[in-house]
Amino acid sequence: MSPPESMERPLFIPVILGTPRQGRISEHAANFVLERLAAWKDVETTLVDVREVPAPTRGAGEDIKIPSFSELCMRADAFVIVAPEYNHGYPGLLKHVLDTNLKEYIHKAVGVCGVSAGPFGGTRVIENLLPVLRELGLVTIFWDVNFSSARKLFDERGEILDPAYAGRFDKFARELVWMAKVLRHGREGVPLEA
Amino acid sequence: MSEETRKPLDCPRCGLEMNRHAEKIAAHAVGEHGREDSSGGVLYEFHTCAACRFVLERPSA
Repeated sequence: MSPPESMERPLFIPVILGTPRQGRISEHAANFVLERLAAWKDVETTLVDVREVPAPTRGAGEDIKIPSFSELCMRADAFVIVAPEYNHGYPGLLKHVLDTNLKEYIHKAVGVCGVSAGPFGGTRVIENLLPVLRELGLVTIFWDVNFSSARKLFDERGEILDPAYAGRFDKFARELVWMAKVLRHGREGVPLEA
Repeated sequence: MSEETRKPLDCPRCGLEMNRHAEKIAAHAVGEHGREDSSGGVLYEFHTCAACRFVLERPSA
């Protein structure tokens, strides 16, 4: 039996870098994630830097929908969010940008990579993001990646120093890809019962 | 559910019949359609095109 057409199309999984701050260590984490995900079989990806998403701040939600970002989200099968932990929470601009869409997220998978200077690797920002992502209609996976002690984790060129992160990310990516495939099948071919 | 909302949507981009796969309360639509539920939102349904990935929403009946 041949797989459905939707299973043959590569998955598109953008990586969202969730902070605009100067000197952000999360950029190194996002580049690491992007590089590993780009090497994944049958996955296409790109980096979405919230700093570059032209979201007006005099307005909110779908009232300030950004066509290029909405189109990218519509095309996406899943998302990876790389988010630093700021005072135990998520960056305000990340939430502002995410809130500009809704229908583009429904029944799509999302995984979160937390970044923090301390030993918990953004655990609290991940926990705080989960209810937001759920309300946006996204489906969260149960693997995270926690970039701990981030200031010491990357060298001056932004290369990760701890080789264990490759295996941790691959576990995360395997689950995300599985969820993305299943949800795409559902979105495109499994009707909601009346 | 009315006859109009039972009718499947055709994709405005490629013409294929879309799949209605979700219903969800959407807070952003309050005031536009005047059918708020007890949570203060409006119930929307969501449709996806298998051919071009286009998505549409419309208020549920």
